[in-house]
Amino acid sequence: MAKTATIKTIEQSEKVGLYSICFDGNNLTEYEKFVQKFMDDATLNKDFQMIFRAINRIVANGALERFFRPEGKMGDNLAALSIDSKVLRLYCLRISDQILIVGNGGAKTTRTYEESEELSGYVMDLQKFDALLAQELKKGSIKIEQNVITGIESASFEL
Amino acid sequence: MIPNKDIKIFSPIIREAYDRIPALDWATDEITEGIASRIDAVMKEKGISKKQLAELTHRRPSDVTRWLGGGHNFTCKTIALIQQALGVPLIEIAK
Repeated sequence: MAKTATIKTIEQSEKVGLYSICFDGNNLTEYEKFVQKFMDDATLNKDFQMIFRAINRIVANGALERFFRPEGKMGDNLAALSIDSKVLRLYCLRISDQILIVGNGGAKTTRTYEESEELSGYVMDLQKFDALLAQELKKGSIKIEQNVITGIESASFEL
Repeated sequence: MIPNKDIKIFSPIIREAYDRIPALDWATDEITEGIASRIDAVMKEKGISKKQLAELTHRRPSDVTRWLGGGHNFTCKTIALIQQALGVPLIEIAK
């Protein structure tokens, strides 16, 4: 079943616009849900803080290639953060050095994300959104101007 | 505490998460990111790839990826190893 989603701005700096996906009927974006889920998790708090601080480094310095490892297929923008945590994963779309769309994530208990229903669900949502965003950018209804995606907050996407 | 006042945060829950990170962790990040950024700049300047740096340091390419990620807690030994491989200092000791 298709889900309707909008995009919200989470953080903005001179270097980066940080966005996240918000599904219809949810008060929180996918990234906010991730933060809420792990902020108070005693077991995974250290890993969560590592990820949260990595996002801050990106917002402060730019979504530079060295902060990420590609996770998706050839030609898509799917990436995971390059951090020391072996357990927790947060998935995102690195659109450019100045635009990052953060999704959801969780504890990686299987060898690959494909083997986890939860993680592969988050990845698929981002991959679908990545393709839809590319279409809208091509049509010109949404534009990327340095660290801002103009027209995105009024758009909705059928994932 | 938000380490960079120029960052605008639009989400209350994200702001709360920022406030819970100890100041010492932000200070540590400034150092680790400084070292990562220096390694990255020297690699670009000298045309050294991740794979080549891994070979020069006898480490795995995934280790180099983590060094460049900006949050890696380097030991003095690792810093010395990378300095030796790149042939330039990464940090200066105040005298």
